[in-house]
Amino acid sequence: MDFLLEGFRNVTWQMGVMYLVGIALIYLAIKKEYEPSLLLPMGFGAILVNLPLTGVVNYEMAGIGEVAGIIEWLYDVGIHASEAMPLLLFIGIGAMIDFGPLLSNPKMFLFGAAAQFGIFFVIAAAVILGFDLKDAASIGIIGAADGPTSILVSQVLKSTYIGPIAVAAYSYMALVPIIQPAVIKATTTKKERKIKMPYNPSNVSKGLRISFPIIVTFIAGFVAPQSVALVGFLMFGNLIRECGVLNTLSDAAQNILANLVTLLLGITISFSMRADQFVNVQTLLIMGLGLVAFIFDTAAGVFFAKILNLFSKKKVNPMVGAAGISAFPMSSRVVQKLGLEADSQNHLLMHAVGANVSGQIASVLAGGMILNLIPQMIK
Amino acid sequence: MLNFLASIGRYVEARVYINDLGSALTLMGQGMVGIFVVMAIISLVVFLITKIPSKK
Repeated sequence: MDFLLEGFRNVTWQMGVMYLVGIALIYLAIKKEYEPSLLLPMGFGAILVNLPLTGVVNYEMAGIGEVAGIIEWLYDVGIHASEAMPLLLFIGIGAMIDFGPLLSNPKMFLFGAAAQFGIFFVIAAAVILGFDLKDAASIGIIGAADGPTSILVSQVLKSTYIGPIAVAAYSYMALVPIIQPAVIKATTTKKERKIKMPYNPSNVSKGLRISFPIIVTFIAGFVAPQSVALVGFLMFGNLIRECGVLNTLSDAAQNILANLVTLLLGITISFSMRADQFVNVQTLLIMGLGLVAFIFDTAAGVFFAKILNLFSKKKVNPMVGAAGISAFPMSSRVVQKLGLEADSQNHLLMHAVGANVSGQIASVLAGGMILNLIPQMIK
Repeated sequence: MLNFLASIGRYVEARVYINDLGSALTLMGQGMVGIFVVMAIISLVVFLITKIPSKK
């Protein structure tokens, strides 16, 4: 009966740590409702891939040879081979986004750009801490506040830290309502938070809504060709939404496709959460750097709005700049809440939504820029 | 001999580190400028399209 004890004999303390990580992620997903659709599958997957002699990753069977494990197969096919899963998820995300508030106030595009600063700041910080440039770039992209972009960039750059990067990206997205208010309050005065912005949206024509995803694809494609996979799939989803003749497909992309890919992506990414790769000092550093990226994204957005105010007659509430990160709609809600806290008549939601959806375009562009520039620097 | 090889190793390591830091700072400059340029162009195109008078 010795075989019944074989599993127990093969448990390591690192595996024990991963069981705790898995249970913590499941707890955060269920009890705190932090990105439950991703953190719960990742948490459960972290337990599955770290069971001793587990059958969900490829293993050697005596007398038979190598046997395929389902999670490793999903990872090889869905992420490693073609980055298919994060890209397919972008079709669903694109179909969910209403760019109307952004198109009615094109100035908001610049806020999305400013709030990507944390990405590049953290790349430099990661290099200083001893990571090589490819890993540093993969860590920096946590600041895109966009899980699929983080997974895709770190996978394309063949980073060894894809597991911690995915966990950090999704955890901090869920913690935006805690991180951003603290940074915003530290970088603005109460007087600035009281600045009111009247909302007079111009009418956005159907023609503009339809041509917008095509225009963005062309511009991004010519300027940053490596971003085409990211931007293109996001805009493809949006075109399906806005064209008006593919309502069934739009519904399928927003619900069925997005839910199915999310379900599989969470458990698939757990393949990179095996104890031998995850339990190390670098994981702690990556979690810390991810937090720094979110802090600097938020601060850069706020300061950019303050700089604009120096040259503009119509003052912008600096908090709107903080909504330029990609975490939608959490960031917009944070700004709206803080605006009402400062003045019960200060409604900033629609401005913040404009900056927030702009951040979604800017974050995928940032991913594309990194994929464009890094190979030129390391060749 | 071993000390000499170790000092060469440290020198190469320092060169790689400085190169990576330089590249990271270049990436910061080029990346932020790139994102701003693309977003500004998109913003301008959208602004111009909204200025086209619609058919009555």
